[in-house]
Amino acid sequence: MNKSAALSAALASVFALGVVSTPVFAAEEGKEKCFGVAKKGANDCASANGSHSCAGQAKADNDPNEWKYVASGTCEKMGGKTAAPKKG
Amino acid sequence: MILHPVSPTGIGLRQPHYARVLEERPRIGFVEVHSENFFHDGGAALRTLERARECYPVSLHGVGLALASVDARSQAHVERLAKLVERIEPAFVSEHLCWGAVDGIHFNDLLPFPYTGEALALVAARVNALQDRLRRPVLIENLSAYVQFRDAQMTEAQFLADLVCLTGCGLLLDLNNLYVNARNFGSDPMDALEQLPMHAVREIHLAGHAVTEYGLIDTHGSAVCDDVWALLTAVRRRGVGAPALIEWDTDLPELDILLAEAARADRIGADAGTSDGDRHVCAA
Amino acid sequence: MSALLDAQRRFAGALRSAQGEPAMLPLLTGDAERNRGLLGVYRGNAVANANAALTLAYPVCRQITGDDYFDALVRRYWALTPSTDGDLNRYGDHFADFLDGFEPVRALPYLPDVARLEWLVHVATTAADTAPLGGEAFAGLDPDALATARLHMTPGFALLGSAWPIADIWLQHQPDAAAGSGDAFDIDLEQAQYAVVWRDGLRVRVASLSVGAHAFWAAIALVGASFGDAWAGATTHEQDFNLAAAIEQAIACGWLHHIETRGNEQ
Repeated sequence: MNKSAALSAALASVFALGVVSTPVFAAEEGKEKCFGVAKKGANDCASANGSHSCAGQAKADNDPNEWKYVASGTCEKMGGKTAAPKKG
Repeated sequence: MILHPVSPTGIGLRQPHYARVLEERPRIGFVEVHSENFFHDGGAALRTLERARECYPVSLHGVGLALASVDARSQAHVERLAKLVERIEPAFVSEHLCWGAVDGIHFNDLLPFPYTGEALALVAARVNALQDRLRRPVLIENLSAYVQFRDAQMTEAQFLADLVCLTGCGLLLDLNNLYVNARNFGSDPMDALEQLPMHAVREIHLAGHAVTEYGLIDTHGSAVCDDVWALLTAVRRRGVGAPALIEWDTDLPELDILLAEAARADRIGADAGTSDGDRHVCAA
Repeated sequence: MSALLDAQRRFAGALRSAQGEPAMLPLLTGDAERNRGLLGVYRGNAVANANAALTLAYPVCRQITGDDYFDALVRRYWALTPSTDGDLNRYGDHFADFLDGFEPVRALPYLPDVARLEWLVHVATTAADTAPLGGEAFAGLDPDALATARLHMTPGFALLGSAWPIADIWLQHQPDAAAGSGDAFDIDLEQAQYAVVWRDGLRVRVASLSVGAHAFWAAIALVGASFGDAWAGATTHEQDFNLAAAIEQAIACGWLHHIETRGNEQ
């Protein structure tokens, strides 16, 4: 099959879809309330968190050459935190 | 004589309360949100605010315009606000008396500055430009400041009084900020109330603060304290009928707690408005 | 220089680093030692606000590294790349590039691409609401018109190719993912993946694409290639690339916004 014939065949397959499924967006409000999806706002904290972020925290980490942290989240559940780069 | 009716109290609307507020629609005067959280083209948050607007008047309270920043590059910010104002048709649009950005860096905080003639001219020009663009008056909120400047030529209250004269803007009187500053700097909050132009107050903020080794910090993370409630009573006795708002951001409690705080503010408004002994203060 | 600008520059210096305090303190009334502590409160606020913003934009990265590590990453990022906008929702767009160049993160080599994917999700969350194209839009076209047509994607649609199983990592960290609650993820770290991000109504979805489907949609969405050219390119990456299945998925998921035919939009 040459290229244009192959394209024709592929396009025919698209047209053969006939009635394809309806996009989900139209049914959105019935299925899921906007306020159930809405995320927290990034701008709610201005001037509101002084009590837990005082000088001690702010003065930490002043030495740019020091990095004393070890990742301890879900990286350990993904097959180790020291996976070596393998590609690129 | 006619007393000013006291407008019903509102609450700050934050994400954990979206569902209950929109489904139960509690009897509150209005809801307030931080404008910048809705500077979007679309999505669930903006849709939620539009739903809220169908039930309540909305107040758009800005935290990012930083009007007193000398080298503010805020035109795009103003345009985003204008688009939101057009979309939501809010009851109030407010901002803080603060700076926040210099040399291209934005600190995303509400920072104090020396109250000087230079600053007054700058802020008045910014407020005028903002009001011209939005084609409506804006409200400017007094700030909780933890440091004070040697070069100040006036108090914040005097600064705000002049700003009202120069721009015709309204005041968003934050009684917790007033109280925090008075306690931290050893002044009497009643003095500030005397200096502020009460006729320009369009909204009142009530919030909690934290007591720390550095003094009082305006955390919006606890109930309104008794001294601040007393300030609300004092303001109501001066005939100020502008609606109050319960502002709570950190350690947000159940909605019922906010509604109870709002009800308490409503009772103070009702008591002050009906008490014989207080009627004389409305004569002016 | 204006006295106000001078004061703001000194204040900014004290906010960026404790080393800026000596230049700021003479401007303030009251006890210097107390003012030093108060400037620390302001400095802490600035970092905490940046942290809150990045935690919202990069929740999977935070889960992967753990809180302390993430907090430290934010402090370092904020020191190098502070916010430039009054809207914190816009802060953090260069976080993946920072992670690329940050030596300690080499122990988590997939982390920069996770961050790239999360930023695409973050942007899609607030993209414009639009009505996607239905399948009937194809019915009125003849094959020749379709071959030269250009497809336009709905706002929020984005693609990301990675040397890592980027879609699986993201999906298994979602609150409703079954695997996230278990002891181990079902992730093959040897597998490269192409991820697609899109708005499904108000929700944002992520899925993986075959190499051919990725080539097809990348040609359409990023290069603006015609339908026929995108198909030809896709078949060079994946010989038996299934065009009909790709279109069916696009319509079912609501990826397509409109079809632009030669000299005519519909």
